[in-house]
Amino acid sequence: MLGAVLLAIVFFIGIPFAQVAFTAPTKDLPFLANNLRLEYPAAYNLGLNKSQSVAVLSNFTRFVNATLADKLVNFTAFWLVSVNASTNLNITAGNFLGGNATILLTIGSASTNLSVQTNSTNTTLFTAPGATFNLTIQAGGFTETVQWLRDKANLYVFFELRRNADTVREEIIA
Amino acid sequence: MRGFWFMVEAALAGLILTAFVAFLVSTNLSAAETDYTAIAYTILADLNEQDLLKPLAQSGNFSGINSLLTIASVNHTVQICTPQACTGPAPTGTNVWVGSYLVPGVGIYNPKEVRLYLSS
Repeated sequence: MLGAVLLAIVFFIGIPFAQVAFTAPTKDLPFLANNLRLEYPAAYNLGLNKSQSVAVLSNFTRFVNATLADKLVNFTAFWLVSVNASTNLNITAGNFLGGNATILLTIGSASTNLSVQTNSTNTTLFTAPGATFNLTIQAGGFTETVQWLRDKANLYVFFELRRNADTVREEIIA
Repeated sequence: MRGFWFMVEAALAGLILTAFVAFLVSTNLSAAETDYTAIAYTILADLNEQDLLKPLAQSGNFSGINSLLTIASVNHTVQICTPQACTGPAPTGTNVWVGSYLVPGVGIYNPKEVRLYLSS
């Protein structure tokens, strides 16, 4: 009995000296995703103000990639922007997915295969798409259809944040 | 008679050990830790929602951002980082948590990362 009492006493005396062996790491990816969801359109607007939307989006994507790499977050992104050219439409794609990509863009009956080198952009022209149109974007196994206005600066962004087993994917349509 | 008292002593020892194990099972001895990293991220996002963060980040005013904060039980410092360097004091303390907010710019494109360090 004395041994049992001593064992219990020793345990309770030792509790204050115990250190927490493990704490779960914070799930910061949702916070970062929310940040980017708000700021990608803001970056695009800043670029539009200086007629440098593609350059600004490219630069911002590289900035985000470098900053998140410090946090051991793998960031990949793909975006499309459109600008009207009279009644026609210029669509520029930015590929920051980590490899070369071929994107199939479809408006109505018109389709274009747009090849974009990794970490770069490429542009294609659609003829007379209509004031309002549906743009279908296909790349790999991914398909998305967005409704855009020809006479508006449009933005579509797909990005992925990945750290170990945690992944967050978001789309931005603006 | 001595054997009887040995039995009583053994029974009492067993009771003490059983109560001890029951206490371990029923009690969470690890205090739940406050998630200061999530707090840091949330604070920066809230400052941005209030349109307070971007103007100060644009001008590199890390002390101005820091002075907006009142956080109990931890110290807080702010750094503003460009792709080239960070300005603002480094955190001190044994435990440090950090949250970030990326800002593309205000009026012109000038990307910055605002870091909020919480430390104890």
